[in-house]
Amino acid sequence: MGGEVRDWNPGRVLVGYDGSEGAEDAVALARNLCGPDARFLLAKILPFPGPPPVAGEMLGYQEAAEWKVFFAEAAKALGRERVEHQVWVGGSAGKVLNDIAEGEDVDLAVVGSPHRGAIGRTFLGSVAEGLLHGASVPVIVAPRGYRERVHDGFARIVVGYDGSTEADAALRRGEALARQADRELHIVAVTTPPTAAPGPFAGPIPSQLPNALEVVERGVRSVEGDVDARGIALNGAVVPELAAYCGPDDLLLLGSRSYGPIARTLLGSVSSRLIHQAPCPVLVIPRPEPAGEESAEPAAAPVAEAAG
Amino acid sequence: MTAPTGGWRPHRILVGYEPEEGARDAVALARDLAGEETRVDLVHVVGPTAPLAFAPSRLSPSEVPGAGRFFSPAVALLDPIPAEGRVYGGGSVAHVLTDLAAEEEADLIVIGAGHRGAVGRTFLGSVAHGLLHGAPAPVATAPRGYSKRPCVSPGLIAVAYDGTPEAEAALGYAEGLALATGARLRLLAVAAVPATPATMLGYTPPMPKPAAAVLADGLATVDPEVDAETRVLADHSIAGAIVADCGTEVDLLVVGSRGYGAFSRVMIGSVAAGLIHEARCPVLVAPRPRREEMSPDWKLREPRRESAPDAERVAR
Repeated sequence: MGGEVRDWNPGRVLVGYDGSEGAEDAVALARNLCGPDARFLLAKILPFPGPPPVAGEMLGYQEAAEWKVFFAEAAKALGRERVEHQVWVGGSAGKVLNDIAEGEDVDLAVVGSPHRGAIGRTFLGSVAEGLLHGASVPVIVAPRGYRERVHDGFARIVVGYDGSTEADAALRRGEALARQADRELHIVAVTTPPTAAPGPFAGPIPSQLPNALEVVERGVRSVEGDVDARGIALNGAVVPELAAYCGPDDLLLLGSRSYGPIARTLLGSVSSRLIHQAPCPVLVIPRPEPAGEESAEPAAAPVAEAAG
Repeated sequence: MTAPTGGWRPHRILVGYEPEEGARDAVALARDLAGEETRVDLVHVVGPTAPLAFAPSRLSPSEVPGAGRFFSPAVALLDPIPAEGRVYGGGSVAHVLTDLAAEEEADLIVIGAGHRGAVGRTFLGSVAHGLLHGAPAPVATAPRGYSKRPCVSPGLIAVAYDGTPEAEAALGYAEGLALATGARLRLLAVAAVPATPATMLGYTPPMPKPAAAVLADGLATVDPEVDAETRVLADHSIAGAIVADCGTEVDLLVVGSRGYGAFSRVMIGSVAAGLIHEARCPVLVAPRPRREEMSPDWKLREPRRESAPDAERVAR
């Protein structure tokens, strides 16, 4: 994690694979997102008869061999002769996938949408929701029906950008993906004209509100010259504007929200709505660790004190 | 944050004071959980809600002239507990409360229900959603209409206990409050509904420990001074069974976080979320234990030795 993200190229990719249509969508997305050298780890978690819960336990080689047929179709869809696969029993699927990602060398987790949402849109199941709140690796959820589309990489790499360090973390990954795939990198900021706060007293409007144009310009300047980066400043409601900007063949990257545990994915109010409304897959990047800090344990961002 | 080991009362309570989000209910719950040494901070966040991030900052009294009047009903309801109102600009309520709790070592965050929920129940608004994914201190939610109930110290505290490290943390808070308030304690576990376990050739899936044994282990750790009992429940829905058992008799339900994600933080799982929505009583969600406190028993396990392959057979 962290370190050299210039050439971020997911090397080992965890795919939650339960054989459902949603899992096939996840497989199609994993293949579209990852380069030819990526190694895939497919994990299936069997239902367990608890409660009370027990710790997740991996099936041994002998039992897992029985599952080769189960994973064969996915391996074919991934364009690989063989893929690594694991079958687990005990623990919730979210916990097992999270702990595999945390304990092994995994760069990305891919899961599908349950097949009850709108086609072409992402619908969060409990596993996806769990991973998007707390995973230590970037998480992407495949929209429903993704496997049925024709894929040749992504049309454009779009980054939802608000100038925060979390957005910068997403921009760095987007920059790396755009470079590798030779695609345009679109850095999009949305702002709304400030209005007085509703409520018991009109809050004072700070004189120095962030300006979308300045924010995207800063984002574009931070991208190295070999990537075709464009800044887009939009005006309006952030979720519909960003969702409308993206096309079905794009990839949208978002940073985690800017408070709470570091080095984890965390959906904020914008990302949790965008993930449902965007017409394309949304890749959520964990909060970056503050520079010079080794530990992944909580470090609070300072809340400024009263001016006087 | 480490779960308490003796009697526990929060020293410092942060209340999310958002009028539409059951602020009065949250204040009443803070009052009922406060001890003699407790200080309460009422936190309100004003806009503008610009989508571009800017760091929240505390506003001085001169910037919010109406603040005294705004907080006075809450201060009166809390009396004689010392309480202070604070107004922040920028960020969200969840953002400010999460950061404040970490910086100023608050040991409880109390919020009310969102304004869309049913009376007597707790609907999670965006504030609760943000806090319950990552707050560094326990988060207690007050159901709608809680402030209309008479002011009482909790008489019966229930704790959902399944033997995980997260449930142990929840038990620590429940036991601590029971010790400090003299409340009775009830440990609840839900037994498996008989289901067909995943069986495969030559493989025995791990079996859950019987719920009664899990509860007995939990009960053995409780201070003998506490009047504690255990109950095994059975239902198709874990949350449904616990809510039905708590009814209107339980004054506070304590639950643990889910077993993955960030350590030392509240990470709400689906059962706890269901409990908050359905329970008629306040629900306190305990943060996960610290990384160092995690028992290796709950780590993912490699294949068991006894099920390791017979080399000849696998090579077939």
